[in-house]
Amino acid sequence: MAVDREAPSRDPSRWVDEHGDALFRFAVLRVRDPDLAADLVQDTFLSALKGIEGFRGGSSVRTWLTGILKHKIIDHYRRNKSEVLESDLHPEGDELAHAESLRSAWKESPASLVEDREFWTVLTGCLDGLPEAHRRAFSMREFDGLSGEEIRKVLEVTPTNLWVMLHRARTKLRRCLETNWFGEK
Amino acid sequence: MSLNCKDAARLLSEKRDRRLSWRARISLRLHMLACKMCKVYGSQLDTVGRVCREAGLRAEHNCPGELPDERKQRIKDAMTRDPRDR
Repeated sequence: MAVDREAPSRDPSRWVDEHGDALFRFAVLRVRDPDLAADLVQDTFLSALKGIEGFRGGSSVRTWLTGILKHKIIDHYRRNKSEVLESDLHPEGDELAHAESLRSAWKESPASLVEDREFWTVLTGCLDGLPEAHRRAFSMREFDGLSGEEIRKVLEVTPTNLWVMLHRARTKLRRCLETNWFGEK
Repeated sequence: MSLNCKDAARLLSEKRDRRLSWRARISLRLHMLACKMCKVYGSQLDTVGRVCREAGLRAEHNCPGELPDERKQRIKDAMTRDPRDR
């Protein structure tokens, strides 16, 4: 007898238990605010319920829900513009990227790092240290791999400002990871 | 044509987001031949990029945190309510 493995997940009454935590984690990495992440997850489920006819089963329910959540996050950025401070963009504000002496190339593999709970604590702590606008740009670029063009449309910034923001975010994140993770090893 | 480390660091970031001009690419390459620190810096930026891409993909499993039970209940309630009242 053929068993439809997807069948239970298609039942919306089970979505929250089956996908709630996963969607929440997806959102909280990106927006770094648990209340906001929970709101976005709620919006996602309600939109999915409304649009359930649009789900044709070409992908898993999880993938479908995650796609809706991605849009919710971007809508949130669009609707709640984050102020880009002049001081965040001024090139003279650039610190010398490697003013401290660099120890060596980082050896640990990304695949093993993301299996390490302690590393997640350090990574999320470092993200929390970025200015909001920089974190948004960085998150879309590095977590989701959106193009500069796509990100500029969401954030409504010039190409130059986007590059400066990303450079600043990378510089700061690199230093924070060096101090709190790689340098400790 | 010659770059200082600050410019090199900026270009190392920008080349992750756009195609640099040939002039910038050559200047950067020359600088990197001479400057060990910038080479290490560039490889660390690569690692930041690869770790974050991996983290973006694994977040739903590994990022710390879960949806609080009270929120789960609220969402379930909202989902069973009549759509006109949501």
